[in-house]
Amino acid sequence: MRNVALALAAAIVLWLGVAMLAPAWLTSGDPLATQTSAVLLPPSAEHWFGTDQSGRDVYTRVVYGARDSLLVGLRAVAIAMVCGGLIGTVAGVAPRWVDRIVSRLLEVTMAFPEFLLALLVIAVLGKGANSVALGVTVAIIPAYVRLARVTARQLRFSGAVDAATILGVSYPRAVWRHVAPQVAAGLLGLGIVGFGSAIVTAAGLSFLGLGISPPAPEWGVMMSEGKNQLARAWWITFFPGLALAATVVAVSTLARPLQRRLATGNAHD
Amino acid sequence: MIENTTPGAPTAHVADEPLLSVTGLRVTAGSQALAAEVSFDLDPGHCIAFVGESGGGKSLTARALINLLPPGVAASGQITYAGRHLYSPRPAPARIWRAVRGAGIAYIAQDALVSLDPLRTVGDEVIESGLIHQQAQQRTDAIPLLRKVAFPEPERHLTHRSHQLSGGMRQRALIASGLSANPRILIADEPTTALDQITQQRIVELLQQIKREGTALILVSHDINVVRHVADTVLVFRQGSVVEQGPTSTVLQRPSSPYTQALIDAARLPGEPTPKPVIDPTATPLIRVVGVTKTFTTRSALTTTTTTALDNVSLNLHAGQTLGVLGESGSGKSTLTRIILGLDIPTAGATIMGPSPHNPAHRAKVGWVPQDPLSAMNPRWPVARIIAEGVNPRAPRQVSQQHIDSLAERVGLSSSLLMRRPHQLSGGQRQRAVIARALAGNPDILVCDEATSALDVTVQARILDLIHQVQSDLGVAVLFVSHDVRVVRRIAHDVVVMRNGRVVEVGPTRQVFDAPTHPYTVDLLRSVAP
Repeated sequence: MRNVALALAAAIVLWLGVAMLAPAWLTSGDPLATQTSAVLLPPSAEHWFGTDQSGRDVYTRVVYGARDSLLVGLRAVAIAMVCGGLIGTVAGVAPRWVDRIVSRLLEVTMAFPEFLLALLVIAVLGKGANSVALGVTVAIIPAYVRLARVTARQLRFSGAVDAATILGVSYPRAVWRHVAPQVAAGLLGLGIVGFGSAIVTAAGLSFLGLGISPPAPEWGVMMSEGKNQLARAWWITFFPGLALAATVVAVSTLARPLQRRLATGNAHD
Repeated sequence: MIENTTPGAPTAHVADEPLLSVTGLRVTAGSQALAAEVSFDLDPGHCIAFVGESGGGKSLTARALINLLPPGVAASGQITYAGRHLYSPRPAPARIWRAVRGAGIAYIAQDALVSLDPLRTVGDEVIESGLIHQQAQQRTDAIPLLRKVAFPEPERHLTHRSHQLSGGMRQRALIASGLSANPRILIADEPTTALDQITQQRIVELLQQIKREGTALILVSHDINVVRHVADTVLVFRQGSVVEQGPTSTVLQRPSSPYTQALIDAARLPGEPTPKPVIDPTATPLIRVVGVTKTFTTRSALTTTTTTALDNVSLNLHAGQTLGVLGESGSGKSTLTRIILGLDIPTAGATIMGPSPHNPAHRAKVGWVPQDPLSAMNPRWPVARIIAEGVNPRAPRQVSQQHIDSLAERVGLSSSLLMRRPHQLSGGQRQRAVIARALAGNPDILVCDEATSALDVTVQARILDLIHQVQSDLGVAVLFVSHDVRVVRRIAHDVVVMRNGRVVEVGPTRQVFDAPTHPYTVDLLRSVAP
């Protein structure tokens, strides 16, 4: 049962990867091509996910939409892991006053819900795909800083750093050797899980019309466009939503065992 | 007999029948036997002890007696308690066990330090079993129980939680909770292991008293010295089978199995401490600790609390000398170790490192053998690289395999273990690995911080032999910090006894042990007298 779930999740992630890199392999259509003769058609053998109000093929748009929808999350998580990891590790191993400053700032940002924080950034920078990407990044960073800080702090007082110090290893080098790899492993675990919530936040911002603008195929935008037709043509909103949900579930399913391996430090060097 | 073995059916209790009768008990995990063919009888007011190294099957056997085994582990055999069949050969139904556990057979789990619920008060923990079996009504009913186990000031501690108690108090609270439903049999799993000697001695006295009051005891311990004072019968476990069984005096005085002999040897107080090397008193010591004081200040919103961990401590360590630092937990010996290692800075006073005997132009170098080797090694590194970090702290990867092999060989660590990660080693192997790392940098001083405390007695003896051998081969000085009187006596030339951050007695090991002058030292030594 567990293996079936893992295999299914792997298949979905593989499908998403192909959709991001080579969407033409999955569909022969054009995501922007309108066809006035085929408006609001329900799912059929010809149009798997039906067509929208302009007669565009929803399946083709879901496939092409994967890149914009997922890239935001990937970028946000990658930047959060690197920046958050650095800030958190420094706070964890530096003298206490540095830690105090970082911790207080962290508490302020943690007081806001992620979505609100992202909205705040967009309000300052204006609408657009880049604002959404930056907004999501800023919104998720505090969690990464916190994890890095607490892991680094624990390890900094562990015997491994003491032992290295006694052997004559310099403090920065001891941190690099005995603290940083463990912190990175923890962050990677958080990143894999956090990816799902990052793409949901990004899609939510696009849905509100703050990100990428129509007619670009992005899942949040597509759901937004379809919401007026919900009673007549549920498929326009349903399939991008399904793609989003399937992505989050598949990534989380794959993340579990991976995270467990990272946590025990059993992974390869 | 077979006809009336309906599980749990109360059969007539014959007066001369033992309280607990165990025949052919087997504990298995799948097809693997974890403990085989255990048989014994237990009468009221008697004590039976299960001894042996960890992994020998003694704890599992004890847990089988109350049918609380880990998942995947099963037991079978014939067990009769007060006329009820607990196993015949399958365990009795859960209903029977609920009545027996606590009120009939009580179990005190291993590791008192973590066995109390951190969110519940001592009073609630202690009377829980009593409430279930209708022997207690309210929290204050815990007071007489706590008083019975000589728990200090029970009224005051009743509403405290486990983190506010010392190790000895937690162990007493746990024993009190075992007694709260007035059981006829008490199983105590390693009740003294994590405690210092004086507390151990008090727990032993308490167990003796419980036994005198007519409760039957099953004592699970790897410590022969505890068993000697409490048990009437001994079962020696090794690798899942009972290698020897008989009255305590016979087994301990004329053991028939070499394994039992090894256990006894490991626990024996050696008659002669290690002969002292000739030390030139005019030579510059390797370490001079001069009037070191360390205070810790904790600030909260309203108050500032200052704790003195070390109070004007002075000592000298010479080349070739083994200096034992003896003290209970909280005596300040860990703080002293950290200051000598250069990990902490004293509030007042100083530690001065003398010139290295190998190279007078340099200061003496220190190697560290930590108390918990697992947390002192990078969990992601193979043991080979951990040792290599000691050879070349700047670039461990450049150290030759040959060099690492020779270091591993010196500490008796098989080279086949070198590619493993620390968590894949046994306790003794981890200790050898950190000793190899400490020796890799050619230190002049080896600081051993409770280096053998977490090990079984037989492993402990081998590690002590190793440290002793390393010292005679390489001539390093050893600072051996421990709470264990036996171990310090066995290895140290000179002893410093510490209490509450102060040095209370200093002198050659033999003098301190044969004619202690400070009343605290007298107490400490009496607690381990054979």
